[in-house]
Amino acid sequence: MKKFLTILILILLAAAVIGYFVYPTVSDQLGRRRDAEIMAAYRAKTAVMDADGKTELFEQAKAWNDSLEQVRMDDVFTEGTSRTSRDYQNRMNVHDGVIGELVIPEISLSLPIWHLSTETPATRKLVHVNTSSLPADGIGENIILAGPGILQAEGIPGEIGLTDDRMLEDLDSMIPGTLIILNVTDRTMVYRVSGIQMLSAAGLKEMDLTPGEGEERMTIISPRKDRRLMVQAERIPVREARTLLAEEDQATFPENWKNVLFLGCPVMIAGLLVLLIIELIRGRIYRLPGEKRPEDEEQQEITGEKKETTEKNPDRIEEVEEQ
Amino acid sequence: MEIYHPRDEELLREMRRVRRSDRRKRLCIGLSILLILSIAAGLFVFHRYYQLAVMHGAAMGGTLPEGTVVIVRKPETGRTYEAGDILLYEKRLAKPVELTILSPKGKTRRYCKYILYRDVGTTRQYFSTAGGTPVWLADQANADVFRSSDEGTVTIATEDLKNGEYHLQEVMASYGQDLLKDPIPFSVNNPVRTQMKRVIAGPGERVVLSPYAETRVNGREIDRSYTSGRTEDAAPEGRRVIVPKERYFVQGDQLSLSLDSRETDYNTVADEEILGRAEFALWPLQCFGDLTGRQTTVAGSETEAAE
Repeated sequence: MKKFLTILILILLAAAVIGYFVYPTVSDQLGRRRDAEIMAAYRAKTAVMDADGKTELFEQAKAWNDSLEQVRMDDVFTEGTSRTSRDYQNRMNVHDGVIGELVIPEISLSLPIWHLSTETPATRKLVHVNTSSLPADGIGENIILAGPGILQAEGIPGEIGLTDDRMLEDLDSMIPGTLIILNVTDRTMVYRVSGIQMLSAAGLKEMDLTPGEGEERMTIISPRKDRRLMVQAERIPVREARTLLAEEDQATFPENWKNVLFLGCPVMIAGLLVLLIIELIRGRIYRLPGEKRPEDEEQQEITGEKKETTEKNPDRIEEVEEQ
Repeated sequence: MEIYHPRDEELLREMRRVRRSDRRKRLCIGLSILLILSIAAGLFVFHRYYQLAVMHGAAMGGTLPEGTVVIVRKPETGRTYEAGDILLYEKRLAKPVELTILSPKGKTRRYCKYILYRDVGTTRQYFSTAGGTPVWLADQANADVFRSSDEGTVTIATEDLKNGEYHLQEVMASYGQDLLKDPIPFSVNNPVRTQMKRVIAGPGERVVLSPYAETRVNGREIDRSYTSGRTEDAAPEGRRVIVPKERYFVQGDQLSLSLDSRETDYNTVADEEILGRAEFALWPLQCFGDLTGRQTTVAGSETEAAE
């Protein structure tokens, strides 16, 4: 029993240590899977939408953009999210508050873009900021997206596993020229990163992000402790983006160590499981008729010894009972 | 009467212990050999029929994003593929070679005629497509003739030329010019890309690309529930394709950003270029799952009039 408890404690300890290191990755992957399911539902909904319905969505977004006097960014990360208007929530609302999808192939990022609301604050999801342009596929836009993200070096152990907090973590590794893809219904808008800056929260709040004449821009903002990372990108034609992305469009064969990792590990785990099962049932199969299990024999020996001592000295039991 | 001796019990117990330890040792060795053999056999079988591949770029949209690791089933002889299958293939992106030929005095050589040849060891072979299929002949009589344009430029399509060194030999000069005796060397160096894209039409099927309506295969609308973007961004001119024998019409799931069979230069994918069919996505977890059995057209959307 003591041996069993020791093994159990050791297994639990090992599981806790492995879990500590593996959980953020697994949790992140599960979060991404959930996002992928949301986007699959989004695509299914846009697939059955007729052309007029899609055009109307973009018309509504354009009307919203025309109504904006100034494009700015409130500090939605520290001040909290104030209730946004129903009018804003209904524009470009294709599926359950999702506007579209942001894809950055260079950092393997693919996230749904939500309307900013108290249910979907910028501290939890990648959101469109309600004081900026909606993606209406037109000129004179500056679409501001905001989402959580922490620097890996600054990551607080308590924060690990909070998948949503790690969404835009890799944004720091982008360089000017990186392509950002925005999929809204069946339209694709591609932006090229023109600048990356680190600003103070107050500095960002005071910034006028209103686009210039004929400009089509996208701005992504993510918190880095008390500072804000701002990525600015300019729109480029889809055909130009296709030519640029064609260079990266290829499949490769993984290195040998990855082959071993992906193929060897499942086989090894399966083999170990088989070994464990055999070990568990081994005692039953390989025991001679009439032969007891080693544990039973040991137990019997101990009880036998006890019996002998009690037989030799019956007063001892009484002494023990009295104690 | 049986004589009991306490040492008999001890001896019996010791014998059992030794027997048990021996059995355990043999079992461990046997199982280890079995495990090693099963891993080796598993890996051998896997490598015989399957391979791993990693997807890069945004052409396959949400289905296979950047860095997706997939299991690919290697091709078998006589194997055909269906619409919906994701193929791994090696595509040679053939670009035409344009040569501007000048005379020794620096004048452009307009309206001259050339033949193309290559040297294989000590033999010279001339390029010909006279019979409909490209062949290399020992005799220059039936060789294809290339003509230089107004600007003195000769354009050579490279679909049927392997990467390597070639020569153009002038066989007829324009009026008033001397025949160039020296051959004009040039090299073909087309990039070869290993790519993964989805089959939307097989041999003999009709594909209609239109900037005004959804893409159609045999009159049926393409299913948009797994795609992003739109074809009109990628192939704005629109055209009709009847897929030739032993070839497949492929396209990426990110319609607006994929360079694929919708492009005239890209062409369809030939059977011999196929390296396998993507069957299962392993990593990342968001893509984990079966990749086969996808329907690419919408049932009940047949309208011949739309074509």
